[in-house]
Amino acid sequence: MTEAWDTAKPWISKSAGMIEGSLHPRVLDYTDSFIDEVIPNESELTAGVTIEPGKSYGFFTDTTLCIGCKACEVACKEWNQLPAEEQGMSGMSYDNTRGLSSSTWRHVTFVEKVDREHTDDMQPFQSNWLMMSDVCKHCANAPCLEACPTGALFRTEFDTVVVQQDICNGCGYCVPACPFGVVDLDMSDGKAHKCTLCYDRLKGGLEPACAKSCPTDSIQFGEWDDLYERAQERVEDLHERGATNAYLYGTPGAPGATGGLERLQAFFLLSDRPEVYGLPAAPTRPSRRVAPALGTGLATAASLALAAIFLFSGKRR
Amino acid sequence: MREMTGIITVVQEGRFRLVADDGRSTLFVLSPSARLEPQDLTGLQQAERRVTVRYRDDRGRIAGLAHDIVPPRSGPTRSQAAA
Repeated sequence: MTEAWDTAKPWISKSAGMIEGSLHPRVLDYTDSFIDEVIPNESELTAGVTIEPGKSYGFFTDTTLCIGCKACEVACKEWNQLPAEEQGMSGMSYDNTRGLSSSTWRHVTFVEKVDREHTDDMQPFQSNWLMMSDVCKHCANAPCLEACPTGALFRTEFDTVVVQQDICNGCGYCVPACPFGVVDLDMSDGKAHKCTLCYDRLKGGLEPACAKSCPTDSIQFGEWDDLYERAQERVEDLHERGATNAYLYGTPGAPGATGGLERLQAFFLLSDRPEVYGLPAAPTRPSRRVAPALGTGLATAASLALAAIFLFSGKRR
Repeated sequence: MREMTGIITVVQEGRFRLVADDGRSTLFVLSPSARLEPQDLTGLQQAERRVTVRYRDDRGRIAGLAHDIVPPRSGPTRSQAAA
């Protein structure tokens, strides 16, 4: 068991991962296998965090712990009643989902790396897989939210970004606005869909389905500041162990939180370039490009007008 | 258009799961052309009312695209079916 695991769930015994005196005291209130009521503030038991409106919540996805089991994908589809897509073999490793879509809000990326320098001394059974569970980043300055003309996209009391289905008119402005390609229009119901960070579960005091189902705690849910602190400790720990390529993506000042995005509520620990995982190295808010685009347009119009004046005045002479 | 009769058990936004009288469970997405709105689905679920869903297959996905939800023509009520 790693230090990161212990930090994430401090009541779990470091030695054996068993309960033994370090269990959250409230767990002892629920010893039956079948419980006929919803446990109040269940997230205290499963994630070690009490969910309260007004606080900032998010995901910390540690890709070095991901084993590619796709439990998060399944849990997301099951809770949100998202239909499975009829797909064959994509030929892209074990990834047949291929990407996020209007009906896939969690996607486990499989990256098979070929290390050409060490091909000879690498054993055949050794894989060079990188795995990452991708999701909506719930950006601090969410471009989709800025682009939405109807107010269907809004920031919740948990500092997450959600599409209100009864207000969305399916204009699709949010789709190109997202620098991560997360938001997608569903051609069946004509509306935009994306991860809600389990808004309904948060309101009920439950940890999001994907984080709860993650068997290795690669996906951790909690208050953003706590997650950030935990993530920094994890990076330091990995560096001490020799994995000096580990870094955070989406935290202030780090890759992913560029171009006015400030920070991502769902951030990642990566061990290779962002592009390898299918993430943009320097995402930007489209609204930052409005002024330069307008300036360029005006300059072009002025240049054309001047050229026309020059040409016509020349002809008259 | 195909039909399926049963009880709506789970609703999420415009998506709902219908348990048919024979026990099969099917996921549906409410079409924008349907007379009902997504917010009406919760009422049907809470009332545990038997309904008939008229649908087509949702292309590329394992779900039905519900074009209409109407009261069933005939058949047992839920309590009668259980008895």
